Amino acid sequence: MKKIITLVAGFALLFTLVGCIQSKEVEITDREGNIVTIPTSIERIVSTAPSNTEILVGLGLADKIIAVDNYSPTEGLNDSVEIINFREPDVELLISLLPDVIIASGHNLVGDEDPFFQLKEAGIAVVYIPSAISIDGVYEDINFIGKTVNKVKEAEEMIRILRDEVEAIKETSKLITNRKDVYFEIGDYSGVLYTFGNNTFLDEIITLVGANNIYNDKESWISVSAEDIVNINPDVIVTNQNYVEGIIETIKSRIGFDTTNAVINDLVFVVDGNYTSRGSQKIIEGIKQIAEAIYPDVYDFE
Amino acid sequence: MLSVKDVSYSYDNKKEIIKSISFNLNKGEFMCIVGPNGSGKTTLLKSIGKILQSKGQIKIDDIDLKNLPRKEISRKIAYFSQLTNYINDIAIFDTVMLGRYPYLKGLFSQASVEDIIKVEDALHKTGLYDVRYTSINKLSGGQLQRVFLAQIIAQDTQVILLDEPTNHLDIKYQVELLDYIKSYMETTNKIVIGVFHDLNAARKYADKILLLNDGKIELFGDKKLVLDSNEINKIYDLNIKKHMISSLEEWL
Amino acid sequence: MILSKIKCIIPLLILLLALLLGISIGSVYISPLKIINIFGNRVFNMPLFHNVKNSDVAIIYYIRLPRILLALTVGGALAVSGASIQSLLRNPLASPYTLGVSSGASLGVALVIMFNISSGILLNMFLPFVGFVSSLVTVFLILSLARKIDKNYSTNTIILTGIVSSLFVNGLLTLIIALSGDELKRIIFWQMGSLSLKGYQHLLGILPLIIFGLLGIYRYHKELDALSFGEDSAKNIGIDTEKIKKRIIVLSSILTGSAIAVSGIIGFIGLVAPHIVRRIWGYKHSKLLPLSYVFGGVFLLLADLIARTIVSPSELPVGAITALIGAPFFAFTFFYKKR
Repeated sequence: MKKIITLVAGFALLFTLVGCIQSKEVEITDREGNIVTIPTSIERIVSTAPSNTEILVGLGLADKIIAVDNYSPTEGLNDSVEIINFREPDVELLISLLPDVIIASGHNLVGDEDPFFQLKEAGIAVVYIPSAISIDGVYEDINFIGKTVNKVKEAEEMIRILRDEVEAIKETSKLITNRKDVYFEIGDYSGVLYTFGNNTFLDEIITLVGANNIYNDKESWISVSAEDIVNINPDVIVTNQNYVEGIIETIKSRIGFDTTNAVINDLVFVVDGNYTSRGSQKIIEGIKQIAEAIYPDVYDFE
Repeated sequence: MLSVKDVSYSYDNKKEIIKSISFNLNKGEFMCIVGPNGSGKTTLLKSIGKILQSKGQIKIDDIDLKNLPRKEISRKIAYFSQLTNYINDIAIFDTVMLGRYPYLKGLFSQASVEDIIKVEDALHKTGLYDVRYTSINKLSGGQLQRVFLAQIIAQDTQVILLDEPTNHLDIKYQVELLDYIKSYMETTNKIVIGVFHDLNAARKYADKILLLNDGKIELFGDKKLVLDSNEINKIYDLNIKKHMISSLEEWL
Repeated sequence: MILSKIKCIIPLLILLLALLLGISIGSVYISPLKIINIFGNRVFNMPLFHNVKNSDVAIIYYIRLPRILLALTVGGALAVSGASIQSLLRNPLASPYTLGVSSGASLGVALVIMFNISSGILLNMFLPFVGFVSSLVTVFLILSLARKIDKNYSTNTIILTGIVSSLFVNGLLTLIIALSGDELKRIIFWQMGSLSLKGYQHLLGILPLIIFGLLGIYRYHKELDALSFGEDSAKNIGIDTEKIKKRIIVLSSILTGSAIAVSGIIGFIGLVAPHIVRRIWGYKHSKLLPLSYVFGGVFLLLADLIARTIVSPSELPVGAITALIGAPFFAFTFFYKKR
């Protein structure tokens, strides 16, 4: 009962505020294709995914972020920033924060359910950015966020720097003659191994640095059997499970893996999980780490 | 000789179902426990057989059952339970062999030659020898009770407790089973205690009768003494003897 | 007589066939000749053919073989413990899971994953250990609770305390899952059950416990026969029913606990395998227990074969396969009898 009263009171207050303060608005099309009306002046931002938070901070908006999800990096943000679990968002709290815009991520969606529909009904602008599946997608996401928060120039500059570095790596990769076969592991859940096929930016990165993803012929995120990996016999194994202690030793000691070239030649590497899974400008750090892991004699970014 | 002294039982340490039961029986005696529903007949029988952990003393041939292991108790006293629901299809032979369980030895309890001889003897006595490999789920209620009787015979105990053994049986099988038990106990000098609903059966087969009411012994003694007593008429709220005679006269 | 001999040979043939299928089918094709050569090499030191790669040896001898042996062991253990608990509680739908073994193991494993108590190499052996210990702890708690309620450990008391306690433990588990973030996936994957990436060390780790449990339960095959006639009847012939019941529950919990510790929760084998055996070979436990072992093992081996090949090179959780095949099959045979 109490909750409902708070909610109703919250709505009432909000409508009043919306009516009084908000005068200028524009319409934009978000990355999912929805047409959203947003205020022209954005002072209070909620970000629900680490990639978007990183982009916002990179655009110099750290002080305008009032709430983030529990995975987002919080360094540089205001001390008063609210940390919200967007798997079950606290709608009341979000409304009471009076955000100008909520930058939501594709993975906030649970099936067809839109966790923010109550907020939309309350008149708060919610724009969606689905998880990027390519490096070009990351450029477009940055561009879109720049437009949304009135930082178009800064965004263009950010994209330019990123693109220059990516192009430089692409140039260097042309020198490579031996395309190494890479198995890139993103998860080991009690023996169920996860990797990816094409249509993922990680697959694109492996190709970019001049190597070959052994599951390039598969689509999107997949689980694979140990037997199949051993049979394909990768030259290099890379994983971004840097949060698992001793992951390299675990992989090397797996039954049968000792016959793969990667383990025989001691070419099992771990890269940063955040840099290699978030579609923000920091993806370049991930690209560099992967490049150096696979071709240490070709790339040197120090 | 069986001696029961001061035996009581309660399920939850509160209300006693049977209270301070004491009596003695000599070898070769057949006693019936009678009494109205809820008077504690089955509880008393299970207490004597140590199926229930009762208070008091039970001695067979001057040996107290109290601190004996379960297997040793089962070599002295057998309890023939009411027919219950079960799912099983093992052979008659194996079912009867279970009666030899208290005598089995060793880690994987293998049967000895003596065990097999006793089982075959019990099968012969109950006329089941020729069908001994038949699965028990193919048997009728009467045949099944014969299998369990064979199990009790194979168990070879001094005391046999019968808990309404003829329940759910056709009259032919009732007579057959009880006639057989009576002759078996007489030839082997066993002590038998039975719970019967049917007072006619009690009158026909028992030597002694224990009249139970509300967990207490109302009367114990020679069957005629008890069945003709005023106490039994009072407890059942019916003149038993008159009723039996008049219902038998209907047949004339 | 001939019929009964055939009935005895059939399980052995099925077992042999399942082993052959299990070793020769996988996401990677390796010809039977190569497989024979690989075994010759490992067992009798025969030279390898020149076209047999090292990875082939690893796949056959170090990935597939331990995996199918583990499937046989885990499936067999689940089936035997299912069979004995069903006889004990005189309920064909009961299993050690009814007594809270699986929820206890899940809770223990979830706690370890949630609080990241251990990770890396240690986790490989530590999770099974925790799964095993927490399943046993749960069963002991349930037994002592049952004893408080009813000192005779009657069937209904055991079933009810088991169900109530596992619901409670499941509640705790749901709470943990709700509070967890990234760990959620790993907890759920563990619960789904999988035999992948398990090697000889897992097999050897649980084998002593499994053998102890199997022999322990087989030792009580006569007692189980007697118990199926009811407790009074069993007590009459000299069985200390409370003691035996407790022992069989503990032994089957050891079997189930150690099995699911390495495999995760795998359902329906404990129901389906004993059920088939009872329908064809009868209720006598001297036959029921070993044959349940064979059929449970074969069932899991084949389910795992499907799990690892049907969407190759991906794998499905084998627990999902056993449920998808087991549930309708069990329903069919169970109701077929009733008609």
